[in-house]
Amino acid sequence: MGKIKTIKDYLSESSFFEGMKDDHLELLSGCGGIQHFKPGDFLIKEGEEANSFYLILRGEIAVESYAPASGPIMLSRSGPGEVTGYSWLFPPHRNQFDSRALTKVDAIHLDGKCLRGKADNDYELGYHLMKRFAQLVLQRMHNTHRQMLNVYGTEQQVDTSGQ
Amino acid sequence: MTPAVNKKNPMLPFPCRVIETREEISGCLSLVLRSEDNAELSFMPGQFYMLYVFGHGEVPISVSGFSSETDRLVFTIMNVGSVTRALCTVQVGDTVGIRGPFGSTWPLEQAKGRDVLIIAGGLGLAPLRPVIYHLISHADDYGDITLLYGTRSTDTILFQDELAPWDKLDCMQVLVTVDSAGPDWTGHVGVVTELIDKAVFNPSQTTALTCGPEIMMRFTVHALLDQSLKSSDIFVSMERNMKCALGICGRCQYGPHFICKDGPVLRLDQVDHLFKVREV
Repeated sequence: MGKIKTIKDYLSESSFFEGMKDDHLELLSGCGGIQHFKPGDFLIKEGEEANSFYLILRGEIAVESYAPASGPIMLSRSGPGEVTGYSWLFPPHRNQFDSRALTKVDAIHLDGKCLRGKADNDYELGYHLMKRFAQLVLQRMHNTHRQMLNVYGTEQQVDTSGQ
Repeated sequence: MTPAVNKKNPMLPFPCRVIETREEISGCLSLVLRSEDNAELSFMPGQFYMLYVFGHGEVPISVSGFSSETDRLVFTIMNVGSVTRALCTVQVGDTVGIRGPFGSTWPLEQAKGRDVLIIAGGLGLAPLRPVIYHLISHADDYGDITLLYGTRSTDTILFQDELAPWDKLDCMQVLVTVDSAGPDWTGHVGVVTELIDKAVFNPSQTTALTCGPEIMMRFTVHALLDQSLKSSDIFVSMERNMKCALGICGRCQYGPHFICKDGPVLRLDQVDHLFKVREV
């Protein structure tokens, strides 16, 4: 019979937490637990206090914003190995978008409030968390800027003269 | 059959009959043309023809159909200007003038035995479709084929009815992304460069072909180089204002290249220094 994986095992296998010290992974896993979601369930809800983030183990989630006229607008999509939620780390700790399960989702829920406390007491842990989330935020910001640019434009390959 | 191109006077348009029109997406039409005297209409994937709408003018349009079909040519045209507007209103039975084929081709020989990564943005999928057809019909000569396609929204996905059958082929994987979508969309959301991180490929065994607006190709090229692809294994299809299509008038000059003659398909190491120069 195979060994049952612990939260720490999942975290140490994830590329997001790659390179983190063993005792930091131990601290992180103390704030984590596995959660299961059905399609349509919200992992994170816009406007609510941001006290958690998720490492997706299985399934797909959408980051969305709801517009009354058109319903949910999908802004990005994430799958296994990816992290959703970073508002927990930065004041005012309020979720700006929804994260909703598109399929059955298994994810590690990490309690941001618990982590913020641990990071305040251990600056090295705080630095490593901040470094990883800053990279994630930077990547999302670059992607968002490109989405805003409309890189597929109206200028087209096949009509090169605009004539 | 004799070739359609007029060797004596390549500036002279050759009359073709519109035999079919098909609206692909809003404002975008595919035209199927056949020569009025059954002349051979050949091209290699990546090449373009000059399409002449009498009374309106001429535009360069890449061929988007099968290169193995020599009795017809397919062009996919977005209504973005006066000539393309006129092209988008032609009817079956109308006559359109053509000159060509012109320009360089996608590197079908160089890519043999290697995986092929195709990255298309918006209407840039149209000039890549002939190469996809070729790769599928000669799948034994190539490794894995991956198509990464990005477009603005689910309403602007080109050749939508072909993407799913392509993805079902053993030799091919298709990933489509849009900038934003409603809840029914099951594909990816984000810019096409994000798909490069999700696609599995061996950089040393992969030839990459990309086509789309230049800004999209610039970001794509950066992402491919970040994945350790060599610039000599990356090919881009450039666009500039083409007029004569013969490398004479100089209107499509891009640094030392004439896009109509040396391009439109160029190896990245031929042009990467120009990518960094503004207003070239």
